[in-house]
Amino acid sequence: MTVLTRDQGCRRDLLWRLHLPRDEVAHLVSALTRAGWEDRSMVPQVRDFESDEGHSVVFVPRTGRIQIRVFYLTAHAKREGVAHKVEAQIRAALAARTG
Amino acid sequence: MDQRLVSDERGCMHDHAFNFIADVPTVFHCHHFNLFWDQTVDDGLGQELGTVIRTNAARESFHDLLSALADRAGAHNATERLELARVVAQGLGMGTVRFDLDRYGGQALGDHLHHAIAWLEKYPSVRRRHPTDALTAGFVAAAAEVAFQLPRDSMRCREQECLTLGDARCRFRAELGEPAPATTPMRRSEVEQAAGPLVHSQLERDIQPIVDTLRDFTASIRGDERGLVEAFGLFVSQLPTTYYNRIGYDALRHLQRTAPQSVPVMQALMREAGHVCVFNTFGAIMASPEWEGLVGAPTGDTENTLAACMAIARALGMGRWCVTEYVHGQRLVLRSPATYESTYYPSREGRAEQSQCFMFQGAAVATMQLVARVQWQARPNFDQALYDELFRGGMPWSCEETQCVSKGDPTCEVVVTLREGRSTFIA
Repeated sequence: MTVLTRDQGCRRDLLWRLHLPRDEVAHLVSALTRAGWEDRSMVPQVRDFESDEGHSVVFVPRTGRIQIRVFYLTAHAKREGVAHKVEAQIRAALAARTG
Repeated sequence: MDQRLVSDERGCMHDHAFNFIADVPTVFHCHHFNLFWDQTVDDGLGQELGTVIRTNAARESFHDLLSALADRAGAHNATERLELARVVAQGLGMGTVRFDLDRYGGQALGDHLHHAIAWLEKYPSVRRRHPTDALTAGFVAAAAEVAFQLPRDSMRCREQECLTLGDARCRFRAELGEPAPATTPMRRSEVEQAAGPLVHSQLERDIQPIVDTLRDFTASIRGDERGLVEAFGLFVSQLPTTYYNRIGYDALRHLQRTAPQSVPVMQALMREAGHVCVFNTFGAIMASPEWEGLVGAPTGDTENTLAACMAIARALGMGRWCVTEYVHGQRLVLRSPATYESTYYPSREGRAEQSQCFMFQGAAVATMQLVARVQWQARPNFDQALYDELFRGGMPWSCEETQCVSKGDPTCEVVVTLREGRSTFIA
């Protein structure tokens, strides 16, 4: 998985970007579901998961793009830290699948 | 009662690309546009009068929407109708409103209101001196009118406390007054009457499939538990077009009467709202993972960007925007059999002497900017810095609305041309 960067359209640290390698793409949905993220996807081309804290992971299976959306009421100073925490949760969810 | 009440009543004039809820014309806009449009009116008229005009426009348009929905949902008594209003506010992406009202007025509390939350997000260090949620004030007045079956435009409402003033929440006070002079409701029939014959677009084979995809996607959009809609990385609302149109044209009419020298400035600001809309909303949509999954990442090809902009405009309910001519970096001609502006203007203001689709004019220029000056393959960030670079440095384009349904033409047509001696290069 690529390093976490601010995504296009990111203002005040709300939108962050990751990219998943092709061999991991097929596993993210089940990994997040198993880790307790709520699947609220409206279409299969764009998967959308929400955590209990209100953060979102929007995932494009066809390209492997992941966008982390930090919950909009999170204080600005905490947003970057939250994004890294969500990234760690994604990595842990994928690792739990293989581990 | 839940938000399906709103989503089930969504409809559209598919060919003309206008959206409705319960046959009341509506349009999707993002928080950047919503704040800018309101601010345009306040800048033109001052905060006091601007707030009155915005409140009255919201009251009128939401009275029509809430009464139509109450009839369709079979909400007969005041309790049911106020509950319906709470659900509708959330379904439209306006936030959460709780009512403590009777037929003589009362109060309402607003939490996570679209405009207040958007203001704090966009301008965190700017403390306002006036409340920001005139839209919700008008909504509260309309909810009271519909709940207690009062005459249209008879309830007054003001926001007394506001998050953007540093208060803990937004608080509204409503009281019964004398009904304002009646206006004709804007419904689907008025839109159908104004819309001209269909226009054929270049790239139609590319545009329409994207429209259908986006329509399917936006049809299921609803507010979260706080009543905010977050989509494409933006806060989104679906509001009656009468709200936007009435505040813009009421403000212009007032200025024509009191300060005619300021009218061109106001019109320029209304055009700039079109820049804000296309840059922020269209740009963010095209840069979003939703777009990448549904349509494909932008390629930067002229045809790809043009088709995307036409499709987004149509799916949001701005009208059937069509490309009738494009010369790369030189000239763009857009036509629409009507816009949401020109379906309103003739029925309220009469036949215009000059073209009146200021948002469409600005949007056409901004479309040209996205096509000719944005480096899509470099993954641009649609932030204030890029906006300033593109729009505040003296744009190379001139723009003229050569035809307008508001003045009796069969279509609205905007021509964007590269100014003589100018280049599209960004230093």
